Amino acid sequence: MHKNNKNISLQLIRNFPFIPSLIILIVLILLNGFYEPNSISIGSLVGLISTYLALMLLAVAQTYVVMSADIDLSVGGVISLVNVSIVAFMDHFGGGVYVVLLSLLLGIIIGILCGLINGFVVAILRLQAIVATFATSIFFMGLALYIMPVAGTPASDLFWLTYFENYFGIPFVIYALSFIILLIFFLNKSRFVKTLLAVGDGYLSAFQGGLDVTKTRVKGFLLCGFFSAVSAFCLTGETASGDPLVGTKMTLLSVAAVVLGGGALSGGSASVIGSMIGVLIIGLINSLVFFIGTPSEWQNLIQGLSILIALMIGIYINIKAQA
Amino acid sequence: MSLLEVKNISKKYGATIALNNCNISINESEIHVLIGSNGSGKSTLCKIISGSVQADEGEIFIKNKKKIIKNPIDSKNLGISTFYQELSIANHASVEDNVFMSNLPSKYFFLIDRKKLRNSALKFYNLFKNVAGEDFSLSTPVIQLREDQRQIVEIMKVLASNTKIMIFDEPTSALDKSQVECFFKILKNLKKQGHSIIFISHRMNEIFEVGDKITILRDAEVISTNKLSDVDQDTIIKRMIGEKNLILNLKRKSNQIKTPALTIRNLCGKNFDNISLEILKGEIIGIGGLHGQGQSSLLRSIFGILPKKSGNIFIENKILNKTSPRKSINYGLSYISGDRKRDGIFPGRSIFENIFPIHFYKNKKIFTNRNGIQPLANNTLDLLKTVYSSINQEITNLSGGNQQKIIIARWLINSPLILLLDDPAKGIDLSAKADLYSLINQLAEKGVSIILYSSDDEELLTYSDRIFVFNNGKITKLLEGSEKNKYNLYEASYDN
Repeated sequence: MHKNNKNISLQLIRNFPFIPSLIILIVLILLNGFYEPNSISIGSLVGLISTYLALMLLAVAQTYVVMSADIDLSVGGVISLVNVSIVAFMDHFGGGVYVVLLSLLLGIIIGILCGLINGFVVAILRLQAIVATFATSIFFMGLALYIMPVAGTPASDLFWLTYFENYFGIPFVIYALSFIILLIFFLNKSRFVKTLLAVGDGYLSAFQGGLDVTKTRVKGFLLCGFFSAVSAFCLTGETASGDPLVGTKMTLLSVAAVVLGGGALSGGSASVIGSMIGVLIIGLINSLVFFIGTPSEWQNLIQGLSILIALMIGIYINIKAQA
Repeated sequence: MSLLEVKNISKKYGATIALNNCNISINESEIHVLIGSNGSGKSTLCKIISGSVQADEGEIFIKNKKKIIKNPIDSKNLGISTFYQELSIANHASVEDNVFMSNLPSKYFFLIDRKKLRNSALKFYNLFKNVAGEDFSLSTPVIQLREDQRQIVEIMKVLASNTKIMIFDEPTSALDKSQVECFFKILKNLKKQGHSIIFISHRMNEIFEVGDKITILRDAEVISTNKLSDVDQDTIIKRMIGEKNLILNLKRKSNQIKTPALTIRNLCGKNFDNISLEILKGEIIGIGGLHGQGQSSLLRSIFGILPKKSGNIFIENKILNKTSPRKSINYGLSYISGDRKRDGIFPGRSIFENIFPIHFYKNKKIFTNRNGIQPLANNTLDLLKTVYSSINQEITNLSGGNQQKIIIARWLINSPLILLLDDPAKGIDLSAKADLYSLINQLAEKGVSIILYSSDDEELLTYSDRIFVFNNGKITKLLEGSEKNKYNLYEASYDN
């Protein structure tokens, strides 16, 4: 009987590696509800998602590089660059429908180009990912500052109004989220993601097994660039303006979310859904700290401690399931 | 007609010659065995054919056409697939994903066709279903499998590629008897279908069971190629050894203290099982056998780097219960590893800093007078004939041999009682080796007990008083006195 139970839990964790983080998420939602009953209404949950949608997408972007045992510290820079580029573009050409659509296309191209640069320096030139992408992040940030030296240029009204609009009674962010989840669902079943994970498991064995390691890693960075750009769209919708420094704080949060979601920075094992849950965990910890009435000077300390505890619980559940 | 022909292949790694002007030719419908001792170049040859290593010189012909193989993808396209000794599987991926990793069946352009994948994988799974164990299923991630099951996955991977040429580099090293039998049945079938197979194994009976031809390598060169029906075990071993079989033993003043310094009883751990041995003061014990039969794990377990599962370790008469490197050092144990990068040097730090950590630990000092202890280091380094310009030089600026001498000096300045040597001369040049072993001899004369594991059989035979031969984690033979020669050592190593 005991063995049977173990097998079931193993099977579950194997098929859904984000289960430990999901458990933490549910506990956090309940705790939030306990201290602030209003916080588990549909409205506030949608609010939570809409606040953190940009970061969730950034964590998704980060996950695809972590899968192949790389890391991308430039995602924040990419967000800033895309944000100011599309805002400046809309500002310059007026806010018509076609301009907005063109600006989205522009943003995607910029994101993918940034991914290409990262992939080139990391996978082809073989520089250390952590330092090389740190350097490119400064470069991207510099470009963003060149395009828009001061924060505050407003985004086109059409852009942010759409972002906050309800369609058939359902907010736009939920459509966006559903679309992204669908995309991720298909990506998860793709040959590409399987190859990416295999490469992350060990470059040498993947190479000897006949996989093109360099190409796969570059593609991982391209995908990361794409999702970073999409994340920048959400951020632009949320803030309705351009800010060349807006992404700075988000980079490390995206890495933390990947790990909270059960991803291994050593590669080969990471779950995109887990990373999205990781972002919500960070978000809920922040609101919980607020709801229990922590004095403002203690809030950072409590947040940091809580994230550490969440990490430990995740690992503990994983060990329990496997032992 | 020869399907694959390798001509004049040479490969160097730095100053070491891995392959020298090798020629080999494989026919259709043939199982061709490669054999040779550790480091004779078998694996390098396989890796060159499979594209994961580039040859410095030489040519490869497939069906008499010259081909250039730049990477494993080229080689696969030319109809060559390889079982790698160190396995080429992704640990987090499932068995079926691994089997078809480089060629996953797809639908709608980019999605994996799960149904098709399962059906194709099932064919190979069924081949091994009865021998692979109950917990072996197609959806299990490889990380949860045992070593033998992982080897089966790698075998399945090669079979699934269904190429004309298949290379198996030690595919049976972790398999049990029924698994090997099952695998051989498959090999013989493949041969009947016209496949050509290169097969490497260290087990003689396996070679004679499936092989058609045998090529013997020694010291990076091809010695001979014969039909297996034309040679016997004796001839093979003699050709692998090469020069005449001499009993070498460096004379050493033996001291008569017959007290045991270290006793091990029924020790079990990772990769070794039920080991008992006793070492006297001033004795050098060799542990030999093929590479990776548990020798290194035993030494690491004695020193406390790896945990032991059961059994006892006695130092003189005191029992050592919980082992840890710090505790072992207190008891006078020293561990010198040939893997300098992993176990030895502190890169980027000076010679001085690399020599003294053990001294500081043993003397429990917080502050020390640098000028007071420096002569100690200088003396030991001179004794080892270390070449260095200043004690403040960074250690990585020295040659490998000299780095190793500094690691040895680290343990010697505090006169150890028991030395555990884990392939200490790996990758150092001949003169440095000679210095190292003459020092080991001197230490033994002074009454230090030494356990020596060396991947170089010559060294082992020359310097040790007794040799325990390891096979598959167990001691299979003890060689003493006149029994201690290369022939007996090889026979015991290759026997199973």
